[in-house]
Amino acid sequence: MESKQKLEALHLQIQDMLAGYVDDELDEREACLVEAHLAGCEACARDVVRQQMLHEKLGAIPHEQMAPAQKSRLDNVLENALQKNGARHAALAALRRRAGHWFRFVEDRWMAAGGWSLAVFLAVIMVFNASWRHPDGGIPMVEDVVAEYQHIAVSPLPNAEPVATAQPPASWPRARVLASWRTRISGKPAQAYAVRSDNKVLLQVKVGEQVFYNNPKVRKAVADAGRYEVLEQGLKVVALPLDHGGLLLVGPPEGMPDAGTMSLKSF
Amino acid sequence: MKRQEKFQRLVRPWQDRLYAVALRRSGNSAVAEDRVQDALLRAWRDFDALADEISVYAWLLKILDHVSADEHRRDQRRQQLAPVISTGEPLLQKHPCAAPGPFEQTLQGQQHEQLLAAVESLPDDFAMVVMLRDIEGLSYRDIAQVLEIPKGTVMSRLSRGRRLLARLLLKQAEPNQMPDCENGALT
Repeated sequence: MESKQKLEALHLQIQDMLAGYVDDELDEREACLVEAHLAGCEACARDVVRQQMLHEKLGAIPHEQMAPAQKSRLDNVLENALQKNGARHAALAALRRRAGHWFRFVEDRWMAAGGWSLAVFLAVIMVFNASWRHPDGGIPMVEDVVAEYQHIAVSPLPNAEPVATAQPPASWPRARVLASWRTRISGKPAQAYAVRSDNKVLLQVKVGEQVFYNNPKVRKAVADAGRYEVLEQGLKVVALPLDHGGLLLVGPPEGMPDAGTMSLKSF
Repeated sequence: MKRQEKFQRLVRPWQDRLYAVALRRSGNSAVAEDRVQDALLRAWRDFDALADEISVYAWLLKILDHVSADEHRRDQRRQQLAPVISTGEPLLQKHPCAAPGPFEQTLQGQQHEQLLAAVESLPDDFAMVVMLRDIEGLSYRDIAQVLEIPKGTVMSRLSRGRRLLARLLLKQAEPNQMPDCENGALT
């Protein structure tokens, strides 16, 4: 009776090893144990064959590929991230190299004053590094929308959503939606609209509150003047609050609509 | 610049495969695109942490898994009951289609989409290991690292997951194919 229970326990234990047997992931001792069991257990032997078949059949399923428009958007986002962060890494690496040279110099010639020199040097590094990250107090969401604008200026417009139903947050006379697509600003989902206004193309990007109000400069400007404006790489960026989140309007300064003619939708 | 080049060389070739996984998991191309984008941005942020003991693809899948988990979908699915069936399960024993030959024919009759839907309908813990092993071709060691579970757990979940999948496929095929199965001549 006891041996029957032991055999049943072994049967249950081995069932959890059958995948390992099929995939050749068992060690020699385990494989021998399973093989001995399979010789006397038809149910487990059948299970092994079914698992082999499933493995082969599932392995033959082709992998979906991204659509060209999706690849283009991904390329855009990653290129921006790589450029920004890559430059930072390069600067830090250069600093580290310089720090190494300096340290050797100080060690060789100024050993007596080394403590002070090193302290001053490290303070310089910290200040330089902090200011390097945001050389002009740059705002990530502004940098991202400018990069998005620069991308659509040289690439085919993404057209992920039907233009007819697209409703950009801002409208003004002679504004016409050319394309609408999802993007990411400051790492968060956002909705972008390319809008033709006379002979200029402007970009509207609707972002969430968390992104819009993240920067103190923007918060203060919106509280004081109802909007935040900045010139970045020759483009004007206007940040306007919406009911839930905010709008970033990007384009050439001369192509921006007058505030008086522009109406904002509530979302 | 070397870091960028290394990232482009090691990581970017996997973006389509990541998308395929994200699409299978979410069933929505826009969500899949967002998840891949998030995963690749995190990969770039944490690129220096990529260790030699894990393959690049497994590392990326681990990040993608974390991105998906952040959206709570997986945690909701984890609450599903995870049945454990034995090789002695009545359906597998009584049903002639469960025998190797007829089962193979049952399997051949399945479209890829049907198979993927069947895998996705498994409880999440099982669906993940079946997908990572059988569709993505990862080793048990890599799966263990992706899911942060012991290798033995990978093996038991895979054994049970495949068994559940076989039962599910047999159940789906049952209404139409049962008579042919019984004659051992499934068409």
